[in-house]
Amino acid sequence: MSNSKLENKTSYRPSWFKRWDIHQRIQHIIMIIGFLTTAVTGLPIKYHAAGVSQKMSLFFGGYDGLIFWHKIGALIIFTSAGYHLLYWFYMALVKKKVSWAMVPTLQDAKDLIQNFKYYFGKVDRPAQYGRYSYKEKFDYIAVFWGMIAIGATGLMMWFPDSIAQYIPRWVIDCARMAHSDEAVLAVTFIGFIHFYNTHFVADFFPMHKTWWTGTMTLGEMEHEHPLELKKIKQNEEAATLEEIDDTDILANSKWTKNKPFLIIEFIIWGAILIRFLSTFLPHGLH
Amino acid sequence: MKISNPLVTIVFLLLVVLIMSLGDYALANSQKEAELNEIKVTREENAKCLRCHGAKGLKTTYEGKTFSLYVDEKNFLDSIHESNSCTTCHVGMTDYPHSKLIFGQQFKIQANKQCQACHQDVNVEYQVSIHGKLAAGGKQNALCSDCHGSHNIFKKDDQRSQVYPANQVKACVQCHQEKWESYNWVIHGKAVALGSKNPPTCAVCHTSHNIFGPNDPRSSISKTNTPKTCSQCHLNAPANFTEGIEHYTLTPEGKNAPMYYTYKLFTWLLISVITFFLIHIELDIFRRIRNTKK
Repeated sequence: MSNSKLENKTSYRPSWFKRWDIHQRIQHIIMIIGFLTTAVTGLPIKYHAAGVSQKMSLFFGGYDGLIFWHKIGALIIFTSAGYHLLYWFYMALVKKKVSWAMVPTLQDAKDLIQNFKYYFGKVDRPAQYGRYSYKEKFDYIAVFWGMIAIGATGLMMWFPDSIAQYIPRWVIDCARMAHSDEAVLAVTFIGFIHFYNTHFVADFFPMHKTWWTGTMTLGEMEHEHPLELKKIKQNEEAATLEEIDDTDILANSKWTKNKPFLIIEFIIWGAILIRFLSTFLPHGLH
Repeated sequence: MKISNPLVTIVFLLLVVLIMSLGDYALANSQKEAELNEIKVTREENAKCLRCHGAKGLKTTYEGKTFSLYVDEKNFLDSIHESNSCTTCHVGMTDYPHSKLIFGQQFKIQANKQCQACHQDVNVEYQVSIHGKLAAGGKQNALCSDCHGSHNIFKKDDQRSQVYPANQVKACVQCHQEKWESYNWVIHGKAVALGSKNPPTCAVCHTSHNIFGPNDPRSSISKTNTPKTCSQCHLNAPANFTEGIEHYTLTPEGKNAPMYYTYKLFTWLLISVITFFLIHIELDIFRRIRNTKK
């Protein structure tokens, strides 16, 4: 799946690396739609006593409407997952290109440690990533985990009479717990962590575009996936790369060195951390 | 037999039929009129009671306790029993000053005994139920008015009714408070709270008038009957539905334990993963702020 192709247009136009093909982008978009639908209908059910939940319930047509659209959202997520698995088989069996890019390695642990050293000022450079950073790998694998922890338990609750032919009913009660809390984890993770990594990093605020365009500039590649760029350079003509106009948008990003912007971000994410802990620590400790 | 004038005979017979049907009609109408008249009289009588009892704040004391004597007049006149006379239930209050006064629990029991007069079919079920047995023993218990109300009785599909599905749970919780939390926490309670059209209220599983204790084989939630009860909504409810408790609480004991530990495990997973990554983000931003100093 490593389709990084160099397309040399003219020496004055930026060159684009193909990062995600059309299938990957569509899978991601379907996932967004399914995820939003299940989140928006699931949260009012989990926190049904809240005033906003009652309002959401009315909007969807009462509990029956909420659960109907929740199931639709689940089917949309299953569609994205199914599409992705078919894509795997297609790439492996037809295109004969198997990618292990998402598999965690020891290097990821080293990258994490290097980053923490960098944050505390012990080293000068942050970790240099290959095709996928450990953050992106975590995001991807977490969805697999979610398909089991949330998807399978959701199916158990959707068809309790069928599943209870094989398992005692208390397992379904535990499934409710897993489903509900893992869903909160997923929504919190996507909403605050994934969204920081894709929208609120100062270098590409307000939004990193690759999920939509499928491409990255040379500058982005150098900044975010330098080891992958190195591999590509080794496979391509070195000369063609040097002719290319280096539009390093990141050096021009007006937010990267904007101290007030960064301080506001620091405060907001700090507030999120405090609010999060004050909400959920009591549940863990009581 | 030879009829002298056929035409006259036919007209005569038609007149007889006409008069008889008019009579029938008149009789039915007069029955209805009598009923309406009766209701009119009842309403006039009730208005007399309501002249005092419709006054907000009307109360009395007896043996050191205060009893409200106020009846919400508008509510009562909207309710389904407004065409009943007050004295149907409050027998003995036919005179003023009220000579046959009773108070508190005794008063309640007496009034509730009158429901049987019209609602005999339900009463039969109720008398053998656990609520009925406790009532017969004079114990503080679910009498008719505890669930259905007294002066605000509406049909159960009326939103104002105390046994309208969305309201019905509150009626049971008056006594069975310890069940509220465990019920409200699971999907059945949520469906009711969020306005489901087929809400699984207490009465759906436990029935309303023939409730038995859980160890009674006649109970709708006995081990043998539970699958059938669940089948009202869960079409294929197998025997496994009885393996585990319906009203579980999050405590580490006994049958509650699996749910409790699952809850704790996933709560801590949530806390640790999100906290770790939020700290990661904060440190990232922190280093970036320091980088702006260059």
